[in-house]
Amino acid sequence: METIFSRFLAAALLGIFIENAAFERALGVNVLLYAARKRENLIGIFVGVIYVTTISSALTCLTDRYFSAWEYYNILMPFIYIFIVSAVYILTLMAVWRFFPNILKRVKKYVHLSVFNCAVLGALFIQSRIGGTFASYIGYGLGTGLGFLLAGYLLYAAEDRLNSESVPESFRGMPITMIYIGVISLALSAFWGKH
Amino acid sequence: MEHNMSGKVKLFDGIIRQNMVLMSGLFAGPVIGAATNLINSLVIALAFTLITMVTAGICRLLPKKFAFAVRIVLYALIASAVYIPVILLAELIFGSDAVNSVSLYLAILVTNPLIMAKTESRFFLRSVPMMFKDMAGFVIGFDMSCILVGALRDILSDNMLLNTIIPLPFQMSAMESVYGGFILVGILAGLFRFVYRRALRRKNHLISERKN
Repeated sequence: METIFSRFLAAALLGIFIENAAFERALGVNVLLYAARKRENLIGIFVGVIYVTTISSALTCLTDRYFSAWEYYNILMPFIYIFIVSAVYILTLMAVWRFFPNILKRVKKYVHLSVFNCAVLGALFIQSRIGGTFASYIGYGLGTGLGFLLAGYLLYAAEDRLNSESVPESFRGMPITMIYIGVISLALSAFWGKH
Repeated sequence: MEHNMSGKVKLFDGIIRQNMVLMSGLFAGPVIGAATNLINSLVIALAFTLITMVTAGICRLLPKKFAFAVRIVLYALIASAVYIPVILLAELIFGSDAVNSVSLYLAILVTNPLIMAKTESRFFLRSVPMMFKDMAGFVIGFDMSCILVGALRDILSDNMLLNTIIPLPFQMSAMESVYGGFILVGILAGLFRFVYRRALRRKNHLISERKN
């Protein structure tokens, strides 16, 4: 039991800090920019990302385990993973529509954004390369979602300053945000001793 | 955006004014993460062009009576099916080493915002020829930015462009990293906007002078 939990925790920490989808792989930058700009959607988008990465990771663990020996598995991986993410999306949407119709009305506008984005798909691919047990797959999925939330919060917290008049007009908004993410990414790389 | 839907489509719109990498940052991830040299950027540009154009062409044929949630799922599944021949073609052209080195970013091209968002909000509101023209603008804009970033990172990190030596008095190995990519794209985006705004102001100034 202890081993399962330690594997889960190690994978989650890997996803949050060391292999952070946004800072270390530049995955889902568009979703981050969108979420930081539209503050009212911030929580909804990140809850969606965390939920989809965690559930989909558990399912991709099964396909990786049973089909990875197949010759054409690598080239079919995007199709298989998209199929899994789509199934999670549709089933969840149906459940929310049935039991929480008011929530669905609120998140309808951007729910597809938090499901079909580079961070979700990228996390599944990275975990597949790392391999590991069922617990580490779920841990990494959850960690990626939480790491994405951390990146989103750091952008959200700096959004006002990055758009303020103290930044030259041409660099205001997206350009300075990219440089800001770059500096955080540099700091994290140095902190973890990555080259 | 709506003002443009029924009117003329300008390639300029996607290439410059709404450039996906340097103006809106709508799809900068693969450029930052994978375009670390010219070859990688060419692989990404080729795959992006083919996956986006072919997928949008097929998705246009889907009946509109499907619910939005179902259409989005079908777009993603069609893109991931189109991905298969595109990767085989890229391997034929660039070799499997080049393709494998950016395989993670090639796979995520199937959920790119042109397919997942702009098809519904923009491209499918136009006639088919106009849709392809409009989309071509966005694709050319992305490809040009990707190749520019890849070439610059190649020169700055290795002092080489393909097999040609570019003699520079320094080497910036950080340009090969993701944080180097973020910072370079941020600086290029700022410069791009500066030049664009200057040109726009000059144009407006000339127009107002002519009127007077």
